[in-house]
Amino acid sequence: MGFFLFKRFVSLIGLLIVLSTLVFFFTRSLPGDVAALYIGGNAKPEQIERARKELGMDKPLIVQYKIYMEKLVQGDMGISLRTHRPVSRDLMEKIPMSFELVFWALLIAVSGGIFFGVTAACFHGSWIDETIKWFSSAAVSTPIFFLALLLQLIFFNWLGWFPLQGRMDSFLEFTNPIKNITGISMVDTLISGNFPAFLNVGWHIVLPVVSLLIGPLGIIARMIRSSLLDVMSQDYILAARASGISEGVLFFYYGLRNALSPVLTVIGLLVALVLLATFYVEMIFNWPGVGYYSLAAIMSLDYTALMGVTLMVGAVYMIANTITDVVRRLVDPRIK
Amino acid sequence: MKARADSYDMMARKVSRDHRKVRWFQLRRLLKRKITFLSLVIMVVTLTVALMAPWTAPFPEQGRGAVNLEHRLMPPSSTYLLGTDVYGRDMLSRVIYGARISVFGGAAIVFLAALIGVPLGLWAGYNEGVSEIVISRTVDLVLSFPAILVAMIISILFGAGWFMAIAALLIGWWPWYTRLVLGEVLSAKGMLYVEAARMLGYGKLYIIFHHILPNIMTPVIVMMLLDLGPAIIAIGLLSFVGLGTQPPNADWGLMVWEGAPNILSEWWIAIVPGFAMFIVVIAFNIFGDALKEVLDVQQ
Repeated sequence: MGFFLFKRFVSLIGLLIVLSTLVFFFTRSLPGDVAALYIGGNAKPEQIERARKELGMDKPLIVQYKIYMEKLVQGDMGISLRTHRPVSRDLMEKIPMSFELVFWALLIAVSGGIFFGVTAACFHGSWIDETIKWFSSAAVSTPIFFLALLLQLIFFNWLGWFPLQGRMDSFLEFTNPIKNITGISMVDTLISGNFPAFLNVGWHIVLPVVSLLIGPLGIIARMIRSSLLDVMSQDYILAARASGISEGVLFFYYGLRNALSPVLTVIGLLVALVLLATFYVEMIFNWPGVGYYSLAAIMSLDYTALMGVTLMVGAVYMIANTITDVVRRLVDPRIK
Repeated sequence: MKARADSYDMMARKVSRDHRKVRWFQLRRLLKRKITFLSLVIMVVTLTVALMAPWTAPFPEQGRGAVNLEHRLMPPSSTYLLGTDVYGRDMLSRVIYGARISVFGGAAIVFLAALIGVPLGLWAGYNEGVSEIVISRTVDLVLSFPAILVAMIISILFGAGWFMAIAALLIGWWPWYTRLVLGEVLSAKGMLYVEAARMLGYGKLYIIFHHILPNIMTPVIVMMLLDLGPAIIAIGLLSFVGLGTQPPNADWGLMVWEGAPNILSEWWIAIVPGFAMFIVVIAFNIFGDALKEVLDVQQ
């Protein structure tokens, strides 16, 4: 086990180095002149030259690479071409906002997915099973941007139950401003006892979270269902049943525990899926998080910010995969 | 001796042909279920309508992007069955022309991914040794990057467009097929029929193509069917942020993007293409799932 952990850790570090190297060489092989982009339109050649020096782009590529890696280790990702602020500072500010969405979405998707999957398997073949199967098929087939717009149309425009977009009502930003403690608005408002803002944020967060969680919910429910059905038809379940263990214990203790293992493998993929979905959801709901920032970087060709975003998403994805791998081995001794 | 070997070989191949006949029988059973039949109908109708777009679209010119400014933002009516967009173009024609780009784009991704991934998997699985290590490490490496983000970056770097979007998505798509085929080949290699064929003196390539490939095609085809929906969505995701199809052409993702600013008033502009995407993707998914169930493929 110790050796396995060490191996996974080393390969994670290796992957991160490969990722950052690729990102570096890709952005340096760009067709456009980054220095000219940085300084903006109508710049004189000597100004562009100065900007190039400022960005360290006058040095040979290999020296630039060395400087880039050194800075990266210290958490410096360069200056955004769009906001003209350090990318790492931008990201640090935005990450908690997205964390809030992703946290709720994954929490509800995983618990709800397990619940619905188990229910469907419990009532295998009945109308409950059919309904859940339909729902999960529909959930995985809905493009995220379509779902977000549809929710806006139905729940804001037609029913008027939830606000259209944003993090909180604009007048509340003046009457009950959020103190920035952790950056996670629901935690901040709760700590500082700012209940009107807390409720307002809670009201605004519903639609974005729902649009984020539907897809993963469908995926998890369907996986749990099929893997549970598979497990329950195994010989060892039959043996356990023959030895008089009650159906409930059989199902939840022997069945579910074994059924969860294959689901763990997709958690890494799900994290990547949800992170990517935040790009679209935050854009459509005008939620000021890292997804909105990333999409703005993509659309305005802000290369340095894009580098930072790629590194961040890639790193999160790789770390999530490594953790699920390790957890899977801890949970399931059959895996060698 | 050789003649005898050939007759054994023919017997082996007849057995696997009979096997496939049984599968056809199972496929017929599949179509008896109303919902799978319905999804097959949706698939066929979508493909036909998209292929025949110049004849099926009520306003082919507008479908290709010609503006019609005097009829801007019209709600659905008898002339414009699904309404018109910001430039007055008939939504139905746009959606039909969009199907060409979306559905055929998705099909191209899946087909090319299999075309690249399957031979690599076959090669790695049959040769083992160095080539297996190199190929499976490459697969692991590629799959450890988030595919859509990689595709976005590639599109930004090398210029956005439909072809580039497909090429960029392919980078993260083929390894799934290699991984699948590699596993299948490794388990097929231990089977008696492969050993028998090797004992009868057949060459490596012959065994790969005549014995192993036909037997591992089922999971590959099921995976291709199940990948079609995600591929259509993936193209839409790129187009939605301006990294796929470029105007005046439009696939469904770009059309939703174009309609998004008007979602609160002229909602049909975004909802119609989004819904088209949903229906087609769910049809592919349901059919793929049913096929997987009937053919009893474990993935």
